[in-house]
Amino acid sequence: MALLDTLLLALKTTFVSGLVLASLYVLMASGLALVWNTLGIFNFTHGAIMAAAAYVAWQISDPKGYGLGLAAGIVGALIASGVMGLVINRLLIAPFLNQKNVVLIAVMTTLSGAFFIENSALLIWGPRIKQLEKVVDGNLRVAGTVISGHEVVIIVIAPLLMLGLWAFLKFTWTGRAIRAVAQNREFAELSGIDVRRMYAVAFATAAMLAGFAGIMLGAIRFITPGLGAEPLLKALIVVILGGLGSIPGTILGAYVVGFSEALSTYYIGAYWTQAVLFLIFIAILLIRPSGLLGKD
Amino acid sequence: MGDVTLDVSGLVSGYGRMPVLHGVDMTITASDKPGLIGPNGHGKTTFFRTISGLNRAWEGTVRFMGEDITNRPAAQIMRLGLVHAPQGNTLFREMSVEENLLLGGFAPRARAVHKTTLEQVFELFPRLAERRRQSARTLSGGERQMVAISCGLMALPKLLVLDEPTLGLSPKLKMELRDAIAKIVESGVQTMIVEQDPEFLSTLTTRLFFMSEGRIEADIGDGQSLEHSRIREMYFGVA
Repeated sequence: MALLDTLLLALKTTFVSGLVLASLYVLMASGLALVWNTLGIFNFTHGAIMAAAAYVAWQISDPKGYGLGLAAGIVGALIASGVMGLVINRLLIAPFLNQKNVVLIAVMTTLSGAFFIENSALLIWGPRIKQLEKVVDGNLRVAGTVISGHEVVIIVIAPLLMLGLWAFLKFTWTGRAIRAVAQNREFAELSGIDVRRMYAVAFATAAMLAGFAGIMLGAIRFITPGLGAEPLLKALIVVILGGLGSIPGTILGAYVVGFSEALSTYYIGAYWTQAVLFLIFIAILLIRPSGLLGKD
Repeated sequence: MGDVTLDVSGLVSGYGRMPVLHGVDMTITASDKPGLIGPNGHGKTTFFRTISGLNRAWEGTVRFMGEDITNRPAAQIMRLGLVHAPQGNTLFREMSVEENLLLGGFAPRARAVHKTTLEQVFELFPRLAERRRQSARTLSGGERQMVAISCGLMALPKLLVLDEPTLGLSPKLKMELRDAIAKIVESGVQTMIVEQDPEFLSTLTTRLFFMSEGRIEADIGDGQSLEHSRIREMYFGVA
């Protein structure tokens, strides 16, 4: 009986921690997928935006900064992320959109943009590590395991945000136009859609999603300029695993990666987790080269 | 005569360094029912891509309703009312018929009345009403063509350009589409139709342009009958 209880507890624990990880990955990867879907490029500033948003939120909210409270910090950081997205799109992507090898150019420009943002953050806020307040204090006992209120918020908000993103893309004129541009740029132009404007809107939306992920992360990890580096790598895995060009695939990919990571950390050890993740990644791509829900 | 709708002069354009249009001149007035014929690969589609802003004009000017629209962005030209319905294989494939149509009416002027226009379109093509929730990818060639034409109508065009609306369709479908296009023309929407089949155009147009090797080789106006011998001469070089 004792053995069964231990096993059950282990399962519950891994389920809960897997859910937390998966929800974080949903937040991190969805913006990356939206940009890939719409503009057809990988945005390597995605992780840097997470870090910058966390710093801005800290600056506004923390008593050592402006001390305006967490709510103001979150709102301010989200706006800052959106503006950052617009600027990055304008400077690093829009000028090269008509080039034939825009995909490679965008890798270069966004990678250098990421270095620029990360080092600017280092210059502005210094090397001393910081942390944001948690959105909700205290812990919760769920199914025999302890989970922080902040993590509960992440678990609940991630799917809600995805629902919001889906409704935006499905039911609004702008959202429909963004999907239209992604599917057939020329026909979109012939329909009177300002393609570059839709790119900007998509990019800013993605940047705000990244910013939100950064703010959430900033309360459970320490804020450093490299805060978004590892999440960016995870987000890349999630997006490719789920299937390029599919936001539902990205969400599914996030949960697959999250639960795999939790299980392998518990049963195999944190040291091997990355290796196990890549093993699963390669195995799935061998069977389905275009990802879980990707189209050939 | 009446007002000039479209006035193209000396238009040169192409792909890469290869010119396809070698100086196209064309003037259409409001009372014309224009059609364009010509063999494949002689610049018909390039001509439309250039006047609608998808390709750059290398030389020459395009004026629409008196306004110079040469090399303006496609989305801007379309908002002025020059609407180009491309060949039916270019739709938003992963979207439903209804979403495709709504996007056709994206521009502000059309969006304000999109519900009424949508009803009119469904009246014209009842089959699209049946398939409104189906994704464009799953439609037949004829249905896709209906969607392409309807998207153009949703934009409330002042000049609707239909690029080979019957390409690859069965004779029966072709007749069906011709009747629908005739209704569009009757409703007062000026429509320029591109075709390879002069017979198809004969009932729908009063003015026929013949394009060959990137130029307008013949302009057959109202009153002049379009004899078969003339067309044979144009296509084969023998009377």
